Amino acid sequence: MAAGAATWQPQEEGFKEICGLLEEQISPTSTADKSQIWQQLQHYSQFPDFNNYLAFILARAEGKSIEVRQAAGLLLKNNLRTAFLSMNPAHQQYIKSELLPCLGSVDRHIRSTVGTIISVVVQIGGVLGWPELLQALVTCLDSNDLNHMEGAMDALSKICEDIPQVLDSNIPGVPERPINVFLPRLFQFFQSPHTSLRKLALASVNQYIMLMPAALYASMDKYLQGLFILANDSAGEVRKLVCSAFVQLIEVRPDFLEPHLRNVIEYILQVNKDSDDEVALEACEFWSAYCDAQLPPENLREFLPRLIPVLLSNMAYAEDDESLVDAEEEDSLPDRDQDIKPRFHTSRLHGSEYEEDDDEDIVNVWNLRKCSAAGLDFLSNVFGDEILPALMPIIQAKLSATGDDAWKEREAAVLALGAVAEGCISGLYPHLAEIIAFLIPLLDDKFPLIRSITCWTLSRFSKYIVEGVGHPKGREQFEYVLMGLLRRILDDNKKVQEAACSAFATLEEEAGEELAPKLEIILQHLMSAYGKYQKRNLRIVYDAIGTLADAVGRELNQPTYLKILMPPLIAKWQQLSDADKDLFPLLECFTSIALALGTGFCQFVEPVFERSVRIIQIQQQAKVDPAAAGLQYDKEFVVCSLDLLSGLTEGLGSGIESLVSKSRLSDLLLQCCMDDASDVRQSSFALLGDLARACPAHLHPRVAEYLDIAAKQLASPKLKESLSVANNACWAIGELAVKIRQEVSPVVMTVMSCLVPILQHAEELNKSLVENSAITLGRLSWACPELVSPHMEHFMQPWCAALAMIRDDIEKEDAFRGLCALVRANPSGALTSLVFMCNAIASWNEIRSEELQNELCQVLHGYKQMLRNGAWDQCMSALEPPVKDKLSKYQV
Amino acid sequence: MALAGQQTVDYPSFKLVIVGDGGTGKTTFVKRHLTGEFEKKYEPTIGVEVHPLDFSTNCGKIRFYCWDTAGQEKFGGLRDGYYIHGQCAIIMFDVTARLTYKNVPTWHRDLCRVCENIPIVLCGNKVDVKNRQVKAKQVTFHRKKNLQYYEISAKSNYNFEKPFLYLARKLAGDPNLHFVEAIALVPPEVHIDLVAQQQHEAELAAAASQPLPDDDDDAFE
Repeated sequence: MAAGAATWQPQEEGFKEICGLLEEQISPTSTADKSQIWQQLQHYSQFPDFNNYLAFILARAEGKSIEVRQAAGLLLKNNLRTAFLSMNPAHQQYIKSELLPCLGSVDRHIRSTVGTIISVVVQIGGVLGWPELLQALVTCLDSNDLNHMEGAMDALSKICEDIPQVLDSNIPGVPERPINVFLPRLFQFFQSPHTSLRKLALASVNQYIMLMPAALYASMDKYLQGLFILANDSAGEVRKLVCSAFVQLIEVRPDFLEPHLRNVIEYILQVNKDSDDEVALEACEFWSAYCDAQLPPENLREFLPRLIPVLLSNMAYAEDDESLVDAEEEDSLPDRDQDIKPRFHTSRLHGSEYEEDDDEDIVNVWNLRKCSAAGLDFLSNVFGDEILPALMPIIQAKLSATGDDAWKEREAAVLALGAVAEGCISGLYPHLAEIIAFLIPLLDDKFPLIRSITCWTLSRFSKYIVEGVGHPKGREQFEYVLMGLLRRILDDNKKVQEAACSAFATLEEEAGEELAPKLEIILQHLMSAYGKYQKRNLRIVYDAIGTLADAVGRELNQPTYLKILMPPLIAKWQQLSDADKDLFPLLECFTSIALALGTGFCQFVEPVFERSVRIIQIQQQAKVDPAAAGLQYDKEFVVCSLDLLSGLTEGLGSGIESLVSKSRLSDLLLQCCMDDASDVRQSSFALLGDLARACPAHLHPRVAEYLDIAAKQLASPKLKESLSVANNACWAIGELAVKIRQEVSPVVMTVMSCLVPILQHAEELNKSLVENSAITLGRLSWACPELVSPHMEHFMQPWCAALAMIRDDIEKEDAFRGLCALVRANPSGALTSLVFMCNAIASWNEIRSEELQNELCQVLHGYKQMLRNGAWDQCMSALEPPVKDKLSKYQV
Repeated sequence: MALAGQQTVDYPSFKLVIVGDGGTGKTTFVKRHLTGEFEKKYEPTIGVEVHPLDFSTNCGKIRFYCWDTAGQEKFGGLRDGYYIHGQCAIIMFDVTARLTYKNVPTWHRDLCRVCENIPIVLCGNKVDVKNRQVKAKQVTFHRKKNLQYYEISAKSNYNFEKPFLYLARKLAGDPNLHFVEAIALVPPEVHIDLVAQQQHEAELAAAASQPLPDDDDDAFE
């Protein structure tokens, strides 16, 4: 092949030098600095025929080591990527002509390197740029010589992986698309006695499932037939590719599989038990893929009794699962830095919650156990209770398996119960008491992983466990579960502590005030854990305390409870320096406690308040002059402190006044509002809003500056980059407006001109920002109707639409007072938006303020009077029946 | 060992290749281990640097020759030429730079074309940075390719040992292998490195200006 083209010849000296340098580059023992050697090599790369040398070394340097030849080939490939098109055509031709004969090299590494290079050349120059290649590949594939077949197959499979579409295109001068020529040969190789050929051929065809060229479409039967022939291949790698083909087909072209579905499912079921774990894992993906594709469940139904046992047995921990070793870690060992995942504080946000990032640790481990549990979860969601007859007897059998050897079986059974807890709840519900009664003793099992999985599974039922507290039996069970989890919180095993705390947090959220009668014992356990835990789990206790405070609120405000809860936290608080990052979770924890206790936090507030202000002050100093402050600036301290101050202010209300008055907070906060970090500004405006509510007088001297800087956050270039800042700033302006009334007037026009576009683009922005904008616009209208009312026509429709989405609360009342004030000032301003206004008024479930109710009544009657010409009736008839019903109480 | 002379110590040693985009923290990561003497200044790797890292296990000492390869195209040197005879690998990306995750499949492909069937760990670095762009849920590549995945922070040392431990267990064929001595690590960084921070921000800005498909999950497959 093309032997005559090799007119170029290397110089002996250059050849030796380059080989020597390559050798040093890849040598593991060479002590020379590799970057220096690389620079020498770079020197040679200046020669226009450097790449010819590399090709020559790869193809012909028989006396050199394979590694050096391979390295030359890979370097050649990397060079061609950038330089091929600009190369001298004679050199291009030389390199190509050296590559093709190497397809049949006796050394596997040389063949494979050549395959890699060929794919890159085709990627750059196309098939058309190398007309001899296709024929060379075909000749090799048909040669019946293993080296040649393997070399060509290697190159072809890389082309199929990198640029599959290139082979499925028309090429001038070539009668057929290349894929049409290759596909029959690939199918033929499915039956080759050589594993490598079967594997490469199948992998190549699989690359085309997404693309589905006409050639593959037309020979789908052949392909499927081939898959079934390879299904029981002796090589695991091949079986894995068969599974992967079926998984991809079920995802993108399920119609092709439909006529064969029974056979496919039968097969997948069989290899789901494959002795090769990778094959079993690939097969297991099929079930989730099937459910995900929302294919008719009927086809899977009859297999459930056989599938479920397979999934369950694959859910048992594999011997090499890292969790097994991790679970043996001694709890007395202190956590190291590398055990502690960095964690972040989330700045306060006023309004509807964003989606929270759920905790992610678990999803990242992927193995047969996880995949099988996910599959079972999917099945339970598709089939619901239908899977229970097949599932429950196995779970029962596994749970009752005794002896130490069977612990993994028992563990898997508990995991399975948790996995189907949601999907099968209606079927499990009648037996829940029994199931839970069965699970509770497992909390005290000898095996730590059984104790931890039982915590998780119980937490999956928390909603129902809490629902039951109405009856004495249910109450009793709730308490058993609660006590069981508390016991596990004090487990000696760190993994169990972790699982128990997180299960307990779920139960806390579900139970809320139901926890009140148990507070004393809960606190005793949590604080005992607080004293016992190592660093990593300590954070989880802080979370559990915070969640508890959120859940029980004012119930926590009892001297007995506070005597258990506060002293250890205060001791820790005193022990940590102002620059210690371990303060963060403590600051967060105090925020939750302050909000829960409200004025009950009075007795603790002074030192907490003063320290928070001090931390902000020190940090601001450190930002300007770290040396003078004696520490490095870290904005996280500022954010946490601001948020704690917000919590204190919201919790204590006007009780915070005296502390604010004697502090520098008002000045410091203004600086924070101008910070360049958005999370600092976000928390600053949250605090500004809370202070405006609790003690506006102390903001008063600087209120113009505050308003000005808050208004700037709403201006459009800034808006998109920090929506949460805008959200809080917007809310703070509204809070200030209702307190300072007319004094807000200098910013009304600026703010209004920012809010109106937000309302007009409500669909593109987040819900919280739109709600806050609607409320703030209402509050400004209430404070300064004469300034706002002339512009009503520009915003009434989107504003009313936004108001209609807000749930009943005080803020909404303020906004509607603004609405009434506007209508009084400029009744004609709402004439074109009456339907919207009526919808907004009808969005109230119950207006607590009688005065507002009367005002709204007057507004409606005013329009009814004004529009006696029939326009009112027209408006009323345009309303939806439920809206009309709601308005009937105003008798319009 | 296939190459004569590689074993310069009398205990088992393995060639570990570390790959991934430039700036993802490969060099910082290997330099957390204090066995060798390293220069401390921050500069991109040129070609490759080989660092021997020793670990003591319950089955005796082992050594990883870590081939810390250049991530930046212009300093790449032999690039995949350095993978030859690699026995295990770490692919690194930066959870705060989406593009570095999108390039993982390319690094993986190039690696597998030179080293067939070696154990590989995927590492998402910089989980110490607050605003990550690649959420843990979006990391799915390892599922398809049977790689182990760890989130790490070369800065705080979070999960430093995990990748090495996983590879050591695979290479030894012993899932119960464990490290018996604490490894001396550079202490976690307590101050913010302003230069690194600025550079990082510049990189982010550059990455952000790249035309990328939408933010949906498909973009990560």
